[in-house]
Amino acid sequence: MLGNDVVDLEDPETRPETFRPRFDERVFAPTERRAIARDQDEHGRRWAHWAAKEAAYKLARQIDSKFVFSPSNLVARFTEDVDVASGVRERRGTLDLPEGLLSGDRRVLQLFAEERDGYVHVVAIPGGADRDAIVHSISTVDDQSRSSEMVREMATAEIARNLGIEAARVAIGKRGRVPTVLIDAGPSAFTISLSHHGRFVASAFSITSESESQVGSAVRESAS
Amino acid sequence: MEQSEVMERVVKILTPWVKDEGALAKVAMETNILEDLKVNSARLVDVVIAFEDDFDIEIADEDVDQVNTVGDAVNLISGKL
Repeated sequence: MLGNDVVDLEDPETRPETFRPRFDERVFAPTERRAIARDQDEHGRRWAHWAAKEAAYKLARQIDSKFVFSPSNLVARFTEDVDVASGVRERRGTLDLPEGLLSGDRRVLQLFAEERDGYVHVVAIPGGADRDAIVHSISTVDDQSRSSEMVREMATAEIARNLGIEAARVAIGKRGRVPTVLIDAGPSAFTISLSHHGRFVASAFSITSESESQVGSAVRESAS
Repeated sequence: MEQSEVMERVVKILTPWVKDEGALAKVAMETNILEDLKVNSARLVDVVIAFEDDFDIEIADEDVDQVNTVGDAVNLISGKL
């Protein structure tokens, strides 16, 4: 399971002044608002927090289709260990999912944020999960009205390339609001997350390896 | 308040953030706010705050999560008036 989210930092709609004054209070926890205000890159930091919440929400929905997006309760903590090199800013962080969704330390999600070329992209995976097992792609789109199709095409091609199979054998399906990977028109063991905003589309996928025992009791109860 | 008036005010609040003018021109109760009107997810939170201010109501995150279409928003707001 995983989640990802991309934000086009140059989209005029990301400017804080275009939002109602109560937006920050509703979306960001006090600790996040302070961290954003302190950051030299306030704009990038703000949307890294938003993307982290979205990525965590997408991951949570893969576990519990009824999980509610309550942004101020999904609190991203990025470390001060920021790597800035050649125009790329990387942040690492964590985000605690509510009790019951994942067992033990796995509910403390790992966050990987990358800011470059006018976007910020965040991948969220369970605590202890292997980052190297995640493949993500980001691309620009000329026609933003086709972003939804484009991100699926990009993800399909990337999955096929990584599996060494023809793209025609891969398709993106849907279970509720959650995208799924179909191989030869059937369900597969891969999990995927899709995102698009402004000029960018982004996808991330991984082979599902979580066993039933690692899923929290609340989820098993809600599924039964 | 008549549902048609709620609908009119909802569409007026959404309009500045709609990316698909064609979908806006034929907006209906079943129009999906994110997928058809292409309002982005962060803006949807801001739009909900605008609904709260405009209609003098409170909308919980649990309710926001159920809002997919314009009709969902209209019905949610109408139920709180």
